[in-house]
Amino acid sequence: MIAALLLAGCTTPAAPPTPRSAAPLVLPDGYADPGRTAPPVPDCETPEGRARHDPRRTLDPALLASDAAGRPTGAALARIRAEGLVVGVSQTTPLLGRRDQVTGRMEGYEIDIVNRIASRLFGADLAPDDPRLRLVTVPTGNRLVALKTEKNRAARRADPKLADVPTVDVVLANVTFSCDRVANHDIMYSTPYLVTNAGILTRSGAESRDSLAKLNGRKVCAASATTSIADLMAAREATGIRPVSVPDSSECLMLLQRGVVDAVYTDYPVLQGLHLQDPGTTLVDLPGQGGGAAGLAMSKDHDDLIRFVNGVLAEMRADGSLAQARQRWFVDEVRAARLGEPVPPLGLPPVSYTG
Amino acid sequence: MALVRREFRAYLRRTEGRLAVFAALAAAGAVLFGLVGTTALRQRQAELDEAVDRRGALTSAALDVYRAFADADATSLDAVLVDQQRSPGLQQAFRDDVSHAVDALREAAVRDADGGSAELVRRMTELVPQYVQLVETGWTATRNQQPVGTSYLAQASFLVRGEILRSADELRGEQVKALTEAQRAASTQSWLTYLVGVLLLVVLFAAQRFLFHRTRRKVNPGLVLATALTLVPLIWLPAALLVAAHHVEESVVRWERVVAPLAEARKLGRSADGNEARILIYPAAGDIIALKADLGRIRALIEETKPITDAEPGPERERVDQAATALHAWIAADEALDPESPLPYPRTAALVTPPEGDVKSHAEQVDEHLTAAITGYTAGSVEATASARGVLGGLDVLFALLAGGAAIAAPAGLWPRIQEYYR
Repeated sequence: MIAALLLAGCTTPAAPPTPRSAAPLVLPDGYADPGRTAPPVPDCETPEGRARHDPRRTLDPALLASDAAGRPTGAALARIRAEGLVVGVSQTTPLLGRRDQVTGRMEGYEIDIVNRIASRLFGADLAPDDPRLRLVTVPTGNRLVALKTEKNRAARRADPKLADVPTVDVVLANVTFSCDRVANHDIMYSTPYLVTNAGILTRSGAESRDSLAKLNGRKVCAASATTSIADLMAAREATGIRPVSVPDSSECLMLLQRGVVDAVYTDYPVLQGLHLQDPGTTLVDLPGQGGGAAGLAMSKDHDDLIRFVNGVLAEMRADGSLAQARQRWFVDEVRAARLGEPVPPLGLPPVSYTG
Repeated sequence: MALVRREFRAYLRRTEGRLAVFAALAAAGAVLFGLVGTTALRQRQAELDEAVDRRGALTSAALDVYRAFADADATSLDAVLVDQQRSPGLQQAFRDDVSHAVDALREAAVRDADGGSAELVRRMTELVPQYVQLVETGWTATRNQQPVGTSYLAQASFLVRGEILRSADELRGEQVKALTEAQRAASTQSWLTYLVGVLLLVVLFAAQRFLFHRTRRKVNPGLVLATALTLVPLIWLPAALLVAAHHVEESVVRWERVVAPLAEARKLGRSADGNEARILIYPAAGDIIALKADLGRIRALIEETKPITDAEPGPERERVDQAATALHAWIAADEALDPESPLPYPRTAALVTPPEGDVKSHAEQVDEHLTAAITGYTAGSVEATASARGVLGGLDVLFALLAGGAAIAAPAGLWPRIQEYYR
C-alpha cells in the first residue's frame, strides 16, 4: 500500500491534452438556416388579387401593329432597334444559361430563345459579339428589379443599393410564373417556354435518398425566396427535413460538394445542369411535385415587346425549333455526358391570350 | 535604549550631528535621484526600442497581411476572367500573395506571441487553408466550364472580405495604436525625477547655508560640485526629452496623417479591384455603387495627406501625385460602368482585368505608387523614432555617473568639516 502510494506520488501527472482548434465552418453570404422564403404578398392571398395578378395573362401577337414593310412596330420595339436589346440572364445554370467567363459567350436553351428573338427583331442572325444584343447578368434576388416598371423605379428610389442593378428589356432566367412577382414588379410574362417539376440532387451512395421523406433530419438546400424553398418549408413538418437557402442554386451544389448540405431541391432542368458538373451526385425526378411554368418576364407597359416575344415563341413552337432546342439541351447534352438516361422534358401547355 | 536615543538626539542638536545628517541626506537623495532618473531613461529607451523594432515590425506585418490578402482576393477573381494562357501567371501571383500573407502572419505571431494580437493572428491563420482550398477548387471548376466554380470563388471572396481582411484591419489598427502610444509614452517628461532632483538641490542648498552660518566658510567645494552634478542632468534631461518628443511627434504625425490614410487608400484600392471582377463573376446589387464610393474615398484619403506631403518635396510626394493621377484615370475608365447602359461582356472584362504584357492596370498603378509612398513615409517615420532613440542613447549611464558623483561629492565635501569637531 505504502509502496503504491509512493509510486503514485512519484509519477508525473499526465499533461493535459493540447486543445486542438477546429477549422471554423465558412458559409456563403446570404446562407439561411432555416431557409428564407419570399415575404407573402397580400394581393395574392385573395382570389380577386390572384385573378388581377394572374401570371398566365399575356398578350396576343396577332394584335401587334406592323409598318408598311410588315415589320412589327411599337414604342419599345423602336427604342430597342435603335439602342439594342438588353436581356437579363443567368450565367450559372448550365443547359439553361451558362457563360464562358473568358470569352463571355453564353449558351443554353434560354440563350437559343434570346438569339431567335434578336434575329427576328433585327432582321438577321446576329454574330456572337454583336453589340445590338447584350446579355447581362443581373444580381441574384434582384433580377426582376432590372425591368423598367413603375414599381421597380419606386423600389430603386427607396433602396440606393438597387440603383446599380442594370436595366434590361427582358429577363430570361428560369423565372417561374408567380402571382407575387407580377404583383411586386408590375411585370407580364410571355407564354411559357419551359414547364418543369421538381427534383432532388444528392451525393451518390448506398443509402437511398430519392424523396424528401428519406432526407429526414438532413439539410436540403434551395435558392432563397423561390417557390422551391417555399415547397421545402411547407414539407418540413411532414418529412422532418431541415431546409436551408442560399441566394443562388449553384451555391447549393457547392454546399453539397463541401458536405454542408445533403441534398439540393429545385426545378429538374436546373438540377440536370448541376448534375452535369458533378458526376458523383445522383439526380431524382419528382413528377407532379413542385416546379411550374417559366416565361420571359417583361415590363407590363411594353405591350409591343410582349406581343413580339409571344409571336417569336409561337413561331418557335410552330416550326418545332423550341421542341428541338429542349431536346438538344435537356436530352442530347445530358446523354452525351453519360450520366444515365435523361428524363424527357415536359411538353408545353396550350397557349391562350387575354388581350 | 532610552539613553541611546537621548544621546542620539543630543548628537543631532550639535553642529557635527547636523552636518552628518546633511551628508547622509545628500548622499541618499543623490542615489535616489540617480535611480529614478536612470530608470526613467531606461524605460523610455526600451519603449523607443520596442517602437522601432517590435511595434514597427508588427505594424508593417499587419499592413502586409492586409495587402497580401486583398491582393489575393482581386487576383483570384481576375484569374478566371483572362484567357487560359494568362491564367497561370495570375494563379501564381495569388499563391505568392497568400505565401507572403502567411509569412507576415508568422512574423506577427513570433513578435507578439502573448500580446493582444495573438487571437487575431490565430483566427486568420486558421482560415487560410480553407480560403486557398475554395479558390483552387473554384479555378479548377471554372477551367472545366463548370459554373459552380464561381460559387466557390464567391464564397472565397466572402470569406476573405468578411473574416480575414476584417481581422487584418483590426490587427493593423491595434498595432498602429500600440505603436503611436508606445512612441508618445517614450517621450513624456519624467516629473518624478525632477521632483527628486529639486528636493536634492534644496538639501544641498540647506547644507551650504547651515555650513556658512556655523563656519563662516562661504563655499564648500564638495557641496558646490554635488549641486553642479545635480543641476546638469536636471537641465539636460527635460531638454533631451523635448528633442525626443519632437522627433516622436514627427514620426507619429507621419503615421497618423500620412501612412495611415495612404494605407487605408491602398486597402480600398485592392477592395475596388476585387469589386470590379465581382461585377462580372457574381454580380450583387450595390457592387457598382460600392466600387465608385471606394474610388471616391481613395481620392479623399490621398487629398487628406496633401498638407503634409506637399510640404516635403521628394520621391514619396511624387509617388503620391502619381497615385492620384492613376486614380483619376481609373475613375474615368470606370465611368463606362453605367447600369443604365450595360457594356457588352468582353468590354467589361477588358476594363476590369489586368492588361496583357507589362502594361499595368489603373488599379495596379495606384497600388504600386501608394505602396512606394507608404514604404518611403514609413521609413521616414521609423527614422524619426530612431532619432528620438538616438537623443536618449547613453544618457542613462551618464545620468547614473553624475548622480553617483553627487552622492560622493556632497559627503566628501562635508567630511572635513565634521572631522574638525573630533580633533
